[in-house]
Amino acid sequence: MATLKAEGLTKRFGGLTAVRDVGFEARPGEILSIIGPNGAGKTTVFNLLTGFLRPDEGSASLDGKPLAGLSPEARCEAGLVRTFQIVQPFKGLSVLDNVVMGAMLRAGSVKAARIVAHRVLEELDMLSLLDTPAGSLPIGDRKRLEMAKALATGPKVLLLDEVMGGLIPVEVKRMIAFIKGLRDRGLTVVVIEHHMSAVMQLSDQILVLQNGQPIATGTPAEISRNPVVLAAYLGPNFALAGEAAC
Amino acid sequence: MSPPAPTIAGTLWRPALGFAALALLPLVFREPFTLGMVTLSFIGAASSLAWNLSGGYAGQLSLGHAAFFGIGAYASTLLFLKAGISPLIGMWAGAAISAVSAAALGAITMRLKGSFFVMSTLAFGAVVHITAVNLRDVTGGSSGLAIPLQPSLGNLVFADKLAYAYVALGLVAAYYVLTRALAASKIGYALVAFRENDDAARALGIRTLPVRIGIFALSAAMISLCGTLHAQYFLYIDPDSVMSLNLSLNLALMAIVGGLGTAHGPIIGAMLVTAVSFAMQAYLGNQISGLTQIAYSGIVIAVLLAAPAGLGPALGRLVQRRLAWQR
Amino acid sequence: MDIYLQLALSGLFIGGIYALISVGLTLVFGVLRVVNFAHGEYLTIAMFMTYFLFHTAGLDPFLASVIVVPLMFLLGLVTERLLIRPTLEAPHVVQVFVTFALSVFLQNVLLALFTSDFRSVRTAYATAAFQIGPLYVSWLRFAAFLAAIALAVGIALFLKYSYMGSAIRATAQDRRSARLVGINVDRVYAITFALGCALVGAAGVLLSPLFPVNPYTGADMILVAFVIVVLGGMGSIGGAVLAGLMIGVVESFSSYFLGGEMKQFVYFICFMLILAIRPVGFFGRKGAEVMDVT
Repeated sequence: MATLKAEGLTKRFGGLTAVRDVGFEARPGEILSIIGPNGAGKTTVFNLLTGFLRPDEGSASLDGKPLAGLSPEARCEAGLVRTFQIVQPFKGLSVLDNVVMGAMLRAGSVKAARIVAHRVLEELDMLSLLDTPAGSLPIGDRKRLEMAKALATGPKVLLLDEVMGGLIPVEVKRMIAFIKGLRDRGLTVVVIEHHMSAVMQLSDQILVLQNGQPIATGTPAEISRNPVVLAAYLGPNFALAGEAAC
Repeated sequence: MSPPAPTIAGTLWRPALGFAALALLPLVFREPFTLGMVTLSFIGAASSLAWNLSGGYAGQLSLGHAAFFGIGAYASTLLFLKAGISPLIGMWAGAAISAVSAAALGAITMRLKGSFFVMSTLAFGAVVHITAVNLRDVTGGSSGLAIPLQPSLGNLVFADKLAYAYVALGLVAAYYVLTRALAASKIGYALVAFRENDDAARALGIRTLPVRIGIFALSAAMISLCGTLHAQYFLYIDPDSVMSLNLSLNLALMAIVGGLGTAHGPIIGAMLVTAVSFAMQAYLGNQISGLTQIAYSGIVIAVLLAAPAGLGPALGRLVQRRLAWQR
Repeated sequence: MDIYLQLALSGLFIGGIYALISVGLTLVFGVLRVVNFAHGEYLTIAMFMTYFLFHTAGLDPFLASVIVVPLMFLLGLVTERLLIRPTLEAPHVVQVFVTFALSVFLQNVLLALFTSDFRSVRTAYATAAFQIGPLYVSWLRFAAFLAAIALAVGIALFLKYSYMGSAIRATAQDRRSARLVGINVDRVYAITFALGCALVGAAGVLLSPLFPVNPYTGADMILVAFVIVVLGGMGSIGGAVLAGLMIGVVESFSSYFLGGEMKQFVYFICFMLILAIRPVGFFGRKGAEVMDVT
């Protein structure tokens, strides 16, 4: 269980500043959601945190230990793992083997990894799919598989990138309960989400980004009333109307 | 490629039977000519198994593997001729040189797109060949080097050619076991993960780059030992016989024909390819140089174009995995 | 000082022809994303063709180009149709091995037909030269250099200003979008590959009076072509020309100081250095050199 801290993260792609001065602190047993309109730079933040991109400015640390210079593999070993927004299963392999790949990080052998993988899939209620090729799964199951792979690595901090995307309401409900369960176990969870209802139900803290910059942070209650946030999502006129209505 | 089931013991009887059959071959084909064919096919099988570890399992297509074969042959031979060091020790020197060179090549190119790695192996192969030809004082140049016929275990020279066949078979068996052990281990899984989706693999903490480099270096060392065996069998080496582009192609050919990402594929492929080449030599003789190579390369092209799925299960699975030609 | 200038000049001249060899290779890679490992064999074939036209019909190489280059273009079309197109969507393994096997195939066919003897085209004007100050300039090399550069510039202009040229550039950038705007991508592939063969064929014609040919000549040159393509940036014509000239000069100096046999060794070291330090080359697309996800 670890605290993930980001400070002043900035990333430029040529003339475009995708992320500017993003910072937050995600603590164990807490769920932090990062929300914002499309193109706000949310996935870029995850890419910076996990080492797939190098920040132009700013830093990130895990339990006070700086992450700068560490490869994605090294960060995963340190306990920071992410899921991908566009899921990345190992299509030709079975569901079990997919999760084994994740479990191999901490397991001493393939045999041990299989046991861990089995346990994780049981938690996610996916035992019936053990031998199914990952490439043939529908999107809901792929999302759960993505979660299973990440969990199998035994993480301290879990970054979930739009895990609700494409799920039907009953699947969303299941996923919300599951993520809450992870939080209660003491994991640090950072979530990128568009599904507003899920965000409101899950989050202890919310960070709102627009055009790469943080525009608000706070609890779900605070954020849902924040005029700047409302303006960003629904347009400036709504904010005024909203204010008037409050 | 679905990694093998946890219980390997159940599937061991088939390879055991296969190796028993192979062990009988040298006794059955006792005539010098046929024994030579068997021995060469064993050396070829071991070499192709070595190539396949990197080319088939890891998907790192080396077109210059003959260079490592040649380095092994020349290292042990030179140490023996110039310093009196037994090939039993010299072969490890060759293996070490090969492993280090391969690791260096891999370290530079494996971060980049596949084509760069392939090009670099081709370039490396060409350079080693040319170096061997040009360093006449050391390597004897195009004339090559001859090893005196002084049979002894220490010299790794045997009076009875039968011994070579069994040494070679021993190497094949060792490489086969090593291949299967690696495939079932975390390393094998890591390679599969890399081939399926490198980014996803790295996000799960799998250090794909060091593993790939390591496997390539291991593969180079393994084929290096085969080069030494070749030198000791023929008692003569020259750049064209141990370092040529044709040899690099043959290694890959054997693996492709037999089954690219499998452990038994290179063995079957080697037996087939060697038999065919001997048959061709028997019927056509050496009248037209390069005829076997024309046939081999023609076969590779024809097979790859016509029936990639028919090439042995691994290539078929590769195709399947890439959504077979229909993107 | 004079010797350095002379080395630089002759290096530049040969570099022009190397550039021409590489332009074909980089063009094919930029558009079809295929590395044609048999590229060198097309050079050899063109050189053999030129040799035979010279010896049987007395045709001067520069004139023979009128026959050889179109023939190479046709050969390119055939190769693309039979061997390249079927493998475009296939796994990397298949693509690499098909062109690699083709390379071995062609080398050995030439070996079977012509043995490994070297053949030379000796023209009457081979030794003619003029002087600029202290520098000695061979007419032949100078003319070959001019022709090579002219062809490279011609191709660049073709790509920039003609319809087919634009179609080729579009396909290089994004083949799906190119299809969507009505470009016949199959035809673009065919023409590009054939152009690549024609260009290397032209280089072969220009090299014929300068170097002897045997079945392995092309294979010897392919390494330098790879180095140039990578140095210039894969897919960049301008890069290939610039890199070609540079490498020509490097070779000239290294041959003088280290001996001709060390040539390949120097290329290889250069190659590895480029890949280690700046794999994207001069003008390659940034990011194009790193691993794909799949």
